[in-house]
Amino acid sequence: MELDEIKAETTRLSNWAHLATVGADGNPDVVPVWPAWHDDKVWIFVHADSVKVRNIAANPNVAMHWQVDESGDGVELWGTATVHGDAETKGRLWNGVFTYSLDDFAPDGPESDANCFIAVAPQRALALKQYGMAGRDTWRAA
Amino acid sequence: VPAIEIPASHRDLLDTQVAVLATNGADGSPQVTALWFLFDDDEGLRLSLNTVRQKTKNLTANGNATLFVIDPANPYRTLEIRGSVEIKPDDTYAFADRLGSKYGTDLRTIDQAGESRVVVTIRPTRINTYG
Repeated sequence: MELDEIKAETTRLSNWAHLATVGADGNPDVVPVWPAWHDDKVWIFVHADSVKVRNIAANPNVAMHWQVDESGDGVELWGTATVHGDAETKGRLWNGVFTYSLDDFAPDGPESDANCFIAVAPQRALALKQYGMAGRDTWRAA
Repeated sequence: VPAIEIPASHRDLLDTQVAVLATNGADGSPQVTALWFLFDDDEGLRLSLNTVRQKTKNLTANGNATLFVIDPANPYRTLEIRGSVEIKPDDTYAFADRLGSKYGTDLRTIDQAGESRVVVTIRPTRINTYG
């Protein structure tokens, strides 16, 4: 399976995904996010003081799961996350990348230090049909 | 220690069909996956997991998990249940059959020959609701 096929399947499934990070106590945290693909990475717009940003600073290993549809199809993805609050990244991603307006959630705009982006570089992904009962395809980074 | 109650305001989310379960592996990498579950007031929140699956291996290595449910009608309304797990064998598929009946599926037809299942009970340590 190619990464482009994983991208297409996640886009087909849902705007929403779950992001799992590892907390300082070693336990899993999971939150819903509305990500976007850009330059072969998954990007997530977040508050800079969010738990997931703190978790990634301590442990960059993350997992994602795109919400299943009624048939039970879904995608799981594992990767390494980095946090980006610099002006160049914000300027590049603020408009035209996400399928919702970032201004609706960050009226102070990209200049504010209160928001940033998480980038997930995918290392492995698993596309499941009917919860895996009807088959599974895998992708791994070269 | 008194049991942690599911808030009445979000109790209906446990009537949904699918939840996601986040676990951590022995290598420190998390996994998050969709799965079926069964909840009742007497036995609490239980899962039927095939022992060859990564999430089962993760829970054996780290017995803490987070179950997350999104309201299908409102993705901003969610229920997060963090807890420790208790894992027991289900060699006779007694619980797997109960769970399967909820979904109209015989879980034996999913598993390969020689595979086995366990009952995973989540004992909540913290519950967060949103929306």
